[in-house]
Amino acid sequence: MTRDGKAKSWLRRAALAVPTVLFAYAGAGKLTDPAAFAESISNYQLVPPLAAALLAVYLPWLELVLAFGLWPGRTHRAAKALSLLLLVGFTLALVVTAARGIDVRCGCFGGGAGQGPTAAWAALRNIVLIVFLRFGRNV
Amino acid sequence: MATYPAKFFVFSLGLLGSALALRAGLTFEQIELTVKPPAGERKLTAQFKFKNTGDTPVTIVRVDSGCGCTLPSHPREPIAPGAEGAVPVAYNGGDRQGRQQQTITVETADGVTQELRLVVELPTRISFEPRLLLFRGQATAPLPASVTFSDALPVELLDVVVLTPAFELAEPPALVENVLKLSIRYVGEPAVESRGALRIRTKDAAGKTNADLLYLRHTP
Amino acid sequence: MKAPRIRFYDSACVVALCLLAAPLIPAGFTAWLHPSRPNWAELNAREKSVSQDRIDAGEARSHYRDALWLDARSRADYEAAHVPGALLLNEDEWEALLPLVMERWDGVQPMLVYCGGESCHASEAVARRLKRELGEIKVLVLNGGWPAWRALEATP
Repeated sequence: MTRDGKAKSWLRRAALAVPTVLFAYAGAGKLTDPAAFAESISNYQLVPPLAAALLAVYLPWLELVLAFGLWPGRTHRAAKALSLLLLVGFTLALVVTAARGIDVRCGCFGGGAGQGPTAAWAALRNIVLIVFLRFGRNV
Repeated sequence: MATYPAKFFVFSLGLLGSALALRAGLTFEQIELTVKPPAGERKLTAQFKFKNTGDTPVTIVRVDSGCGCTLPSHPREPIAPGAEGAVPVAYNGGDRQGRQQQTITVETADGVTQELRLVVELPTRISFEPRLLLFRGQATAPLPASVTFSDALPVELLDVVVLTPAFELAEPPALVENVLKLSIRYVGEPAVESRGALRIRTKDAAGKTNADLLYLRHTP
Repeated sequence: MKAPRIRFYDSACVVALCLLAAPLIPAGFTAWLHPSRPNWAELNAREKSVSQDRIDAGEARSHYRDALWLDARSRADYEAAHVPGALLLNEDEWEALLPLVMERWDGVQPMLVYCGGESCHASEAVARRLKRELGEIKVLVLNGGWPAWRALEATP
């Protein structure tokens, strides 16, 4: 591989590492208190309380699995697609909730309501992550 | 199999571990406390005990709850590594009944927040079936109502008084064990809208007197 | 030359499904054993009474102006500022406040309860208690509570 190619490859892997680290950190944070995370999800008023609780135990593990899955060759494409889908989904949820006038603290890193950045910052961060994800490669 | 998955698995475990470890500082003995106050008690204080399991002193800067009924406070001085302490929470149930849950947020100087949950099992002092009796038009038949008192705190019936002349008790009220059965009839003008209430006065074993209202309405 | 066999598990879709299925096992353990897991029994009970009968601030302002508005916050918050025409009804002073509400309520108008915001559950508790005590009456809860109302009033 040319030196240029090697540098580009390194850059792409570094780009992939960003969403990886964030997903892993976010997932781990939510796992410390699933009940509180369930509260956060309920505050969006998008799903009923039982669904919110089920999501609260499932989503953190999905984030961890995806963070891991971004790297092995076999799972890279699927993990990337799913991660993109997840980020788009989160951003949509934030936008819809803000539009309804509900002031929600994102709960993105675990914790209950009142934790984390406001909806606007969270949405912005998600968009940046989507860009990194598109650009990132595992080779 | 490429070495990537193996390397990455270890890396992510390390990440997971450090993410969790970063939150260590104040470790609470229990982040959820369930309290069942003795019958008739509405106020209580719960202590959320913690220990500084980190290696730097930790200072609590803010404690909040979502309800005026729950008042947490916190030690002002920094907590040394290895030291123990508690977040006391004063709870006043007011007129609440049944299982109550409140969330308390504890924030430390390093920006870490911890959520604590206080579950209070309050007795259901009184429950009505129903609390509102609706009479319509010409109906002269009496409507029944039953009032159930908490069996943890038995009561003595002092009196039952209908506060509005348009309504009256069809039968004398009967308190059997902890259930009071009532029968009320409308005796006003059929074409008039009326609103009224019935007052039930009881005295419990602790000597406290309560006056509870049951609502009556008539629509033409 | 033979074309290489495409294996079943090479398909990205299958991999995606596996990635989606893999978290189910640790999630199951979390739901069952985590010391801070959600209270499943209570949630099942709540499912029936909650969720329906919630409305957004916009809809409340346009269609429910004539409803009986109830403020489920603390007395201090209510006295500082409240929706014009709203009555205070919270569980701290339920027995003292309910008679005033009953006096104002015309018997048919729907009731609309609001409280401090997204993480405040007092409005739901008040709505549930009203339905329990007064029978099958229409009680709505305002999504976003007082902050949502304020935000709406601030826009023309």
